[in-house]
Amino acid sequence: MPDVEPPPTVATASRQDLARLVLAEAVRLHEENRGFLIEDRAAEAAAVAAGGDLQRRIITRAGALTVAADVRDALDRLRQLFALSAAAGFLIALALGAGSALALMASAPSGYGAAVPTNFFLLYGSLLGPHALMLAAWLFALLVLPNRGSGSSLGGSSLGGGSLGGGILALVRRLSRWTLKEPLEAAAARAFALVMTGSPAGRWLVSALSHGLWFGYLAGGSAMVFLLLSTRQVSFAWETTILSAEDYIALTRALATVPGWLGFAAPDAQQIAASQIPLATAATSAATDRAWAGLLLGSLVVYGVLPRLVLVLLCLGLGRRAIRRYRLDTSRPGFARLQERLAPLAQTTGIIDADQEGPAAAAVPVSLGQAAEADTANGIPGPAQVVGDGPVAILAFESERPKGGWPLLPEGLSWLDCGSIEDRADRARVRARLGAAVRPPRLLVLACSLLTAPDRGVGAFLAEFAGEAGVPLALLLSQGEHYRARTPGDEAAKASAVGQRIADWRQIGLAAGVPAANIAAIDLDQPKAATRQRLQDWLGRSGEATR
Amino acid sequence: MSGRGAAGALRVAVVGHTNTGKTSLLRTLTRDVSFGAISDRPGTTRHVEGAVLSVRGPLGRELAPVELYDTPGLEDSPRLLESLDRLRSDRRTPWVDVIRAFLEADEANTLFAQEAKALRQVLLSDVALYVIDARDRVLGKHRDELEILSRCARPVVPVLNFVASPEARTDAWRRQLTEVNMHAIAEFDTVVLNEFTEQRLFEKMLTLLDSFRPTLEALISERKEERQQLIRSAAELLADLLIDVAAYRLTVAEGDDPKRAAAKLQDSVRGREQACVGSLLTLFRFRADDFEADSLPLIGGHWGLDLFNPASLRQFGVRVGGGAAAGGAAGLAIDMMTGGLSLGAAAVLGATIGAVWSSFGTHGRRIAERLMGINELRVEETTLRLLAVRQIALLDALLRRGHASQEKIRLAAAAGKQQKAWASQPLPVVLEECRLYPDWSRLGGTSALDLESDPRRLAARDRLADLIEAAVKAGDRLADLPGAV
Repeated sequence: MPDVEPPPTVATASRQDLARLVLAEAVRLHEENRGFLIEDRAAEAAAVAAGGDLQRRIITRAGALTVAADVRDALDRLRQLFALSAAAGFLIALALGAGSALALMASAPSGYGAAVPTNFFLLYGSLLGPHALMLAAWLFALLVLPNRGSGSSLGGSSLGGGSLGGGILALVRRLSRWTLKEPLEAAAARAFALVMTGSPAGRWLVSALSHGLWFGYLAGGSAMVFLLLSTRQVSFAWETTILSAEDYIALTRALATVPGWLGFAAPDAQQIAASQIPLATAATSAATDRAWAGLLLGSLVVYGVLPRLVLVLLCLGLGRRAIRRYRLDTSRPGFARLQERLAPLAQTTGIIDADQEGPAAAAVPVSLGQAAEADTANGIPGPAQVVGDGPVAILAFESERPKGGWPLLPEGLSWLDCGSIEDRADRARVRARLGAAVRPPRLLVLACSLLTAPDRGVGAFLAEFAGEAGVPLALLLSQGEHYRARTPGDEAAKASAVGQRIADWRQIGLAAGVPAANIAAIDLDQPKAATRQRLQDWLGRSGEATR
Repeated sequence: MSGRGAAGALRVAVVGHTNTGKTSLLRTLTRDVSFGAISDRPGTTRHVEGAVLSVRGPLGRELAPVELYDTPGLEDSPRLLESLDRLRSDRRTPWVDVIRAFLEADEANTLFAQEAKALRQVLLSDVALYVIDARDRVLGKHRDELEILSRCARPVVPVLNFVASPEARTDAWRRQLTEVNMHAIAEFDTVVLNEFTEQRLFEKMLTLLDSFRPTLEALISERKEERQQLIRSAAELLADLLIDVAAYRLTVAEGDDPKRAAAKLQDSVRGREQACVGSLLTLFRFRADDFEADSLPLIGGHWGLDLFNPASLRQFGVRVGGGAAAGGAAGLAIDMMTGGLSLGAAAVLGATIGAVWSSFGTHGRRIAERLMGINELRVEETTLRLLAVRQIALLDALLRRGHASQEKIRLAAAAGKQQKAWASQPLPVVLEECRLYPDWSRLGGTSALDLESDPRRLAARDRLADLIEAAVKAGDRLADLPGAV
């Protein structure tokens, strides 16, 4: 059943689009795998009806196919795998964070009147240091490495997201290989990977995963620190060999600014100075310790947990944006094949004003046998029928004289060259010329070019002219070789085309009243000796004179 | 059903003397080899047939479509003109009304049935394309046709067809057309397709039809884009083919007959090339049976000269590379790749079987001995180059082929400079890299799914497609029509 989806709301738009994009790519991969397109006219019709550019139609078609449901199921399972892996990773990160915080602080002695205070900055650095370094590395990769992840595999290398996120993805990939084994499901998984690597979305996804894991780690650490600080008495101090007190005071005040905005306590200059190790005495007050603890917790939250949380959301948002802007690569052969069906360049709208008369009224194609018979070895059906003894008038009809002039006639014959003729005015001129001739010509030869198609206009012209001329008409069909060279195809096709054209001319000639013997196909462009001979055969011996 | 079409559509009537290539023009514009019927006989088209070009605007919205109408040829214009003259009783009647009156008369259904259909369609359209066979002489009947058309009160764009032919009388026609005040003349050749002529045709129409500017401009840019996409898609198909063949390795076990293995390799490669040719033809919307002829090198869609025949190399000007010179004529080279190459490819000792396997017989024993220690066969570099050159030549030919062409495909072997580059220079680096990954070859049994989702292979294919695209486009620029306006 074709899937008519309601217009997506803004909130669900991006998630739906990801599913639909992956669906389209999955269908393509599946079709490439099988080697042929899925035939589904209803889906294609739905795609055409949806309109829009090729990408939209491809997506609509994919959504309307019957396999779409299976692909969606596979994608759902993939999503579950993701959720599971991410959740597992998160829990592990939480535990790790808590564990490491515990380990770091457990070394700090506690209890009544603790003699050894905890080195604040060492603890601070150990808790926040790795996180800060990795964050800096991520920023560096983001700004410096190229945008698309192409060229690198999705499973755990440089998508710019850091190895944590990549690790999750590698895990998901392994799991999907085990659980999504059907070709269609495998196509769905690969399609997802394709979409991810083919756009910045992949990098954002990996980044979001990394940040999420770090968030878990830091959240677990913060919670453990809070728990420990709540249940034990810890006193903080700091020491230094090469740096001065002022540096540390400045550093601490600087670090304390942002947590201070959120209300976390922080030691003031005096408390800082008082906490320096050589000076720290048992008289370090609980208030100072509380201030230090406040700074620690505040920093963990403000410099650790919150940024990572913000980054998770940011990366997810950017990923969504990248998906919204994703363009299917429609030059991939799997998509290009669909162009013809979904967005054809042109569609015929059919025949308007159909031919009522039917083919019978058209010039009937002469059978090849007849054409062959007519087009005999020398194209001459027999001696021309003439009247009297005069010269042979020759006219070029809708063509030009051959380049060397009219060929020489054999003994006893002469040409009466009347120029060329094509329209009514020419006919009048020729009539006058014939009338004024000293000896009335025995025959009027129209040299026609086989390059001209003998259409109705030609037929009408011939009919009228034959009536007016007063002299028997003959048709000399020239330029056969030229026509043959022009037609496409192999030798057999060319020969057949020439034969058909000669037959068509014969037909309108006959319809115009020209006797069959007076229609000859002689190519005047051929070498002179050959044409002379053929003209001799046709015109030389006077055949039966007719009235 | 009338030829009125959708509201707002640009309706174009394609008219002209019979047999000038109107239906061919429509086939070319619609890229549809099966539109209408084409033959050399007069009066082939006897009805009005329509096609719609849908046009999408820049924001993806549908713009007014362009409707094209093929009409029967005008055969008897002189007499038709006389008829019209007779019908005009009053000197002040506009000619277009006279024509309407003529279309109501009896003659329109009997004597001048074909002409009437054409004129009726012109009156229903926004513009008429008057198609001229530029090889014809300018005759009185053509002047009569132009006169009749000019009386229809519609803009007329003359289209000179067959301008690529050496017999074309373009200048004479231009003079004649200017005399009757038609200056926006388009040139075309439905057999030899040129990407600019179609664009110029639409641009000429644009000069006369300003109200349809959005549609025509969108159509022009869409066609340009379509052609770029076509070239890109074809380049990807070729790149896929080349990678499949380059990466293919056939393992020959101990005791296997190397000759049989080589034959198997050759068959696989031939089959793969075949499949690529078929895909290219489908992509360009040609039919495989359009090529059923004895003419080389394409026979019914199959290459006439075998890929592994030395004559093929000569035909395409591919020079045999230095590495294949071992043992004289035998194109057998021992290729050693040491381990420690980039990406950790395992050390492979492979024999390459190339274009002259057919001379195996003369060097049989020597070759057989050499093969004893060798366990992998792959395709020689020379053959790969030949494959590339040949397919690019086919792609070139397809790009220049109009959908109305009845001629068989003719390949200008190694015509362009870029083609020569492929023929004589070593393989591109990216293709060399591909030879190190047997997994990247379809012929080796890797599923298409794995191939399509391997990002490194996709990247390599994209790079190779870029190279092929550049080669094709460079050839394109050289092939503009002479004297085109």
